Amino acid sequence: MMSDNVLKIEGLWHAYRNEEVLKNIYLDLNSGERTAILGESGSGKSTLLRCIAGFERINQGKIVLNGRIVSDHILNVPTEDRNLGMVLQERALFPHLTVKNNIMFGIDKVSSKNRIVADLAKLFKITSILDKFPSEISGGEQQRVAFARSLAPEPELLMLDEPFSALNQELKEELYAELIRIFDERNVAVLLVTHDLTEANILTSSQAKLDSGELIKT
Amino acid sequence: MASIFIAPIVIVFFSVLGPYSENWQHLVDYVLLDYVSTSLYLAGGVALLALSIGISTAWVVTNYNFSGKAVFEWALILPLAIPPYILAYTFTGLFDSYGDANNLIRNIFDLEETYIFFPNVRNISGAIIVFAFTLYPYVYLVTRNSFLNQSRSLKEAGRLLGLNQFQVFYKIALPLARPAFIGGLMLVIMETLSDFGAVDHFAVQTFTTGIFRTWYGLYDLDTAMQLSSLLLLVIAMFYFIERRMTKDIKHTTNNSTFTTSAEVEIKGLKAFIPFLICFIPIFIGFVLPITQLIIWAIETNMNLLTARFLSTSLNTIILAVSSGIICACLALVINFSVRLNNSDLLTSLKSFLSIGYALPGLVLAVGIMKLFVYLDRSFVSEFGFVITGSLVGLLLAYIIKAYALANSAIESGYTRISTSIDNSAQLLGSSGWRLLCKIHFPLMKTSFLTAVLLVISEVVKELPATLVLRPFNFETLAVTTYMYAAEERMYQATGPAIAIVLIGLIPLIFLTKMIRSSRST
Repeated sequence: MMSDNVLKIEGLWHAYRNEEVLKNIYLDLNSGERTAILGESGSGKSTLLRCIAGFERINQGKIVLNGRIVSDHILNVPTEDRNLGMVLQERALFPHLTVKNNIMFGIDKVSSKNRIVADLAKLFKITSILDKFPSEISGGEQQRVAFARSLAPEPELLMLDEPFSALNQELKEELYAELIRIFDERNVAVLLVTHDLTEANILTSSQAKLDSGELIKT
Repeated sequence: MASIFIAPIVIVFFSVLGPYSENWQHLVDYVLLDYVSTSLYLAGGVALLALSIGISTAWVVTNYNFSGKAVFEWALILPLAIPPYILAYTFTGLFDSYGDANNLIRNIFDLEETYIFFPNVRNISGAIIVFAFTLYPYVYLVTRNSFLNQSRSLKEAGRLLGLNQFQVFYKIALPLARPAFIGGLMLVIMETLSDFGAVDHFAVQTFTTGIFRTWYGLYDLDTAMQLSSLLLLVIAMFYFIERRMTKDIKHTTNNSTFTTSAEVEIKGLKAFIPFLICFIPIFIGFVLPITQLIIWAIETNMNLLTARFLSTSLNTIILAVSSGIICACLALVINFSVRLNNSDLLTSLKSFLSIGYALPGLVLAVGIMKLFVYLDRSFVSEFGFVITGSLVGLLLAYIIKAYALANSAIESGYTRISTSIDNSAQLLGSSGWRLLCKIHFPLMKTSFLTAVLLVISEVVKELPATLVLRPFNFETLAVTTYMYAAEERMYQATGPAIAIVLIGLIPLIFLTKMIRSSRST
């Protein structure tokens, strides 16, 4: 029987310059499930996401994505082969590309790319700004584009690294409601990293706390 | 003052309207097409090679950590200290049939005297190599800066969207750096098209050699000027592209939170590849010419300090220091006025005066010569040629050509002085000249000195304008080097050539400091 497990982390240890940043982490995430990782600055939240994405190598344990081991103490599957989506606090939109080309970036070999962009633009209410450059749109719009771009390749796991921290409260609340609807529609697993408990409660159904590198279920 | 700056350019530019002499028709019928095609072929070849070297070295030093990288990062700009004509002279010294490199191969492998290992460099391919390996730092400097300013998150976003490391380079990093490296490339092309010494040594027929021959061979200043106007048009096109690209850099900078890029550690045999990518340009552009100059110096028993060398050095120092001080003072006063009055007119004037760096020395010399002949004939005709052939023309050419360097140093110095300092000084009764002399100048001493040194290094290297505008029997280091090299007396050329390179290293010391600090901040 096919498991609907999207992410499985078993006994993950990660050290940076001989300092242990993540200690013996265990985490499971199933399709459509949304979990938040809470914690103070420097607690290792972002490092955990970077390990899952393959930007950092792990020292011990393993990371399994959709039933395939992608990281252990020897193996480190390249990021581009992990089929992940990730939205960063800094959005990381390509400033030399229009909104449309940003969204299309990860699916340029897909024949239905124009339809996918149109659907996502409609979903995120950014149809009117598709031909604009990132520097010509507001912070809230940029964040919508970043979400749309990360969802375009239809990843089974979407990781969100403090994606709302640069937005004001009004914009955040507007986005929360829309995102929950979109996540449910697409049945995508979401791993949210945040220091904001209210945000975690609104967007996710389960939470865990990273404290000095150790993950504590709450 | 602006009119003195603008007059030589306007004179050259409007000469295109005619009248045209028989010599012009001769040029059109027999050589103009050659000048155009050779110049374009040369510029295209140099552009491709300089671009490849500049971008690959910039990418390697900003993205990988390997043995020697800390040294390569600043050493890659060292070829800027070698003017193309000096690299050309050392290249022929090394690679001619009986050059040191061919002799070395024959001695090592015990080959016959007639055996030639290295191909002839006295052709357009040799010229392309010489220009590319001395000018690539223009591309390297701006591209490295652009790569350093690209946030890590952009590259990571690319990886998350399915790109491998090479695709990240050409789909994200390279397009983002495009305005920067095209701006640098335009400088490379302008320098290539403006050069006279290297192409003349390699007997490559370009616009500049054509202008020189028309003037000194056909004794036709007007036709030389008309030829110059065509070159000026081409240079103007590249100048505007460079300006446009500099503006576009803002458009491609990331507006999100900046995160510096992580470097990939490369060890073992793999580290040899980035090592070679960085080492080869430094070896060809700096180590080889320096080695050849040292070999020549040793072969002359280090007998470099001849009477001619000392007198040309003194001439050069007087001219270079005078130009440096004049340019720095002008830049200080103009920037001070702009800061205080903030008028559009002054700002435009400041920008306009900085155009001079793009002008080929030979074109500038033609314009100044025509202007001075006119002034002499109009106002001082009874005394013969008083202004023409004096040091005034040479100084004017240097100031026009190097003002932009002084301006950038002073402008950057002013950005570090808060306007609140001006306000406080004004509240305490210091304004106008008193504010400039008592407050700004003491705070800007380092910038002022930098401006003077930058101009000195530029003036010392300048060959074509000096060759044309110098008073009779007046020689500088660049002119002496050229004249000795033209007569294939390379040993005698060694002293002035080494002096030019040593002076050229001065601004690079400042640049290397900046490069190091750009990593630590």
